[in-house]
Amino acid sequence: MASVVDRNDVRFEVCSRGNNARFPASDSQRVAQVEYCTSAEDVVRTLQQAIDRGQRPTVRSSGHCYEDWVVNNPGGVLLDVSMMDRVTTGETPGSYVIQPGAKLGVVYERLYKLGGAVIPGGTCYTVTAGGHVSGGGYGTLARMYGITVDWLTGVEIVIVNQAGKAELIHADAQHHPALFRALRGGQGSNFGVITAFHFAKLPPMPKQVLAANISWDWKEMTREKFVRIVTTYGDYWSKNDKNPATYPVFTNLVIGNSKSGRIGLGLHYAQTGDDNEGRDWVQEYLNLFQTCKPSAEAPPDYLQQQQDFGQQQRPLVGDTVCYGTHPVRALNWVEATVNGQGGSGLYGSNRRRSKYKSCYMKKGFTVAEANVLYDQMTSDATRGLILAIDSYGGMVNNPARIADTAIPQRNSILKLQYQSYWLNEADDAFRLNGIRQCYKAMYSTPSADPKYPGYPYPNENFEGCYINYADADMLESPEWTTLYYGTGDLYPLLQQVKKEYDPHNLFHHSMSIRPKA
Amino acid sequence: MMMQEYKPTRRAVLQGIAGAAICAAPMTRAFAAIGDGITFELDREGGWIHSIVRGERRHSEKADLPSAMVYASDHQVLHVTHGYTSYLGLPAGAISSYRVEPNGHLQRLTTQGLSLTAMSPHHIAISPDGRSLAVAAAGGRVLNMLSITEENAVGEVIAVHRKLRGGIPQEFLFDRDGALCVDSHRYAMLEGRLARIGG
Repeated sequence: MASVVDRNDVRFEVCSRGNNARFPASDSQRVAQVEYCTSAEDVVRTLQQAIDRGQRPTVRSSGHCYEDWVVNNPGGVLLDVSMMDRVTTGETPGSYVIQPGAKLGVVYERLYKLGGAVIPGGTCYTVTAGGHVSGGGYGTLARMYGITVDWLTGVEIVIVNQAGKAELIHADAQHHPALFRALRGGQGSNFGVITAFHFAKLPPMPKQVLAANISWDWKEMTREKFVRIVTTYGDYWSKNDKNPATYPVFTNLVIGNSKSGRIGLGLHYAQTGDDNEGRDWVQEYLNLFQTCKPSAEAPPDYLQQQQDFGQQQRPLVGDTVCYGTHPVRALNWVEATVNGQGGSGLYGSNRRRSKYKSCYMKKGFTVAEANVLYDQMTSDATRGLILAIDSYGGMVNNPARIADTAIPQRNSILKLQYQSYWLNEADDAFRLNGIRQCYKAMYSTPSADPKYPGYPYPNENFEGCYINYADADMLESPEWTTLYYGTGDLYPLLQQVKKEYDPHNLFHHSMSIRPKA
Repeated sequence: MMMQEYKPTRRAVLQGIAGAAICAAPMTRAFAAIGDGITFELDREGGWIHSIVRGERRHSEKADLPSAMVYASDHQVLHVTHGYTSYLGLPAGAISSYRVEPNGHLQRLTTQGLSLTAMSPHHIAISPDGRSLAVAAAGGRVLNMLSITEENAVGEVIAVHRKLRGGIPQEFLFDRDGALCVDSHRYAMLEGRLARIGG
């Protein structure tokens, strides 16, 4: 039986929140009760009770939803599946079953122990499989292995049929194939409650990870230097996306506002061969951005620091400095993946407020875009803003996956995540204005479709946005579904699946698939 | 707006008196309850709220898709639903509150969206204590309960009741006990949700 936390329960205040403290927007928007389910049968029973009581169900696995999709549900019921967190081997050799409440950090650890396998998923330990996988599932191994839904072969999901009855079904390529495709990136929250993900096989874990980083101090930054860094970063992936030698690589350029952050370039090289694999590549790549000083100039303690920590000197001020060659850390894969993950704590206990936006880029940055970014990141109005520019391409860009998943963005080299975090509600307007201002400016250059200024509408330069980086501001565009689902057959298909598998539109939120009129 | 003499029919007056609670019949015009000699008429097709003072149309307020209306308990605020299928990009209708000036003019206080899926609202009712307001939408399948602010303007949606099937109700009002009556069914706030009560 599900454990119920209602409004009279001392736990309700925390349990009815998500990770983003902006939601629920007010106490009135809270659900009437949270129900913690521990099995698929529990989900069926709890969901049926909610329907019979006339309550809107929303579903939570980890509570990391960026927008108001889950906890803004006045008088509704929140089905929490975070305790459905098993990671097990499947019925056939090499297969695995992951429940929606399994935290990614636990998934990596269990797959490591069970079979040395891996999902090419994300880098936040406490994000769980439910939302992460059904929305796509990008991570540091994406260039080598594609995204997590590319490996997904079956989904167990509780839907509500035309008769209003909750039922557990299994969707795969042979059974409910359209639903299965929809669940490979189109998010479970549109169609029902996912209770398990099936993977007939998963790729092997890398043996070791090479990690390196460079960072720059805004105090030593000039416009010219900034433009060179940003355009060099994009140009490299523009030229090398299809180069298999770069498939083991993940890079991210993280640019914080000049008043509150630094500029950092990090990379992971996933070694599947010997210890020398990729080391030359790492040096050559980092040399594009920074030339090391001669070894002879190294301070006396530099070599010892490199042996101890294997990373560049990171002074409180100034750019990082290297001598001889760029320092590189070699880490056991599971250690690098599990220990290096961010995020912790019980959802709802976090009082951090946040806002996110996203963009897929098919080409590197133009000089005009880099200049706009410089202007924005040196503006007081964007204080606290962070832009993470990830190198997701390579095997992600397998055109065959357009037709059998719900992730149509298969021609991009970079995925951008705009992020802003703050604590006080009084700062909401300032922070929201800042991120919106930057985003609008970035997609108002000649690279953007002039019919949709302010949006990365799909064209020769952009491929829209990522639905798991949910951004309700996009609703202001009448073409918002095209931003997320592309210009092809996907959105009509998702609408058809919605009509067939959620005929009463019970599973809805501000950015859910709209039923066909 | 040119003033013109207005002579309501007996049928129209009765509809107006009945309230304002029930303004959803499929007709182009309906009346809010009489208060201080002022009545209001919704022109659904034209998108107007007309105020009629002692039989004369005195003022017309433009309103998008006005679909149902009800007075606040003090008769100084008029709540009007908008029959949108989409509001600010969301699949929802909306509701506005207007302050009623002594001369019959309306001053809009607030407009806000109803809950997701509460599209094309068609019925509205206010509780006897004046602290809650109910709206029926989506062909009777979605009920919204909203709070009323200290200023008697409409507040947030505080609960939603979803029915898988439904039809346009014939009766939509609060009874003396504060229960929402939708045809033969009664609803009340119970443990944070809008629950069906009784048989």
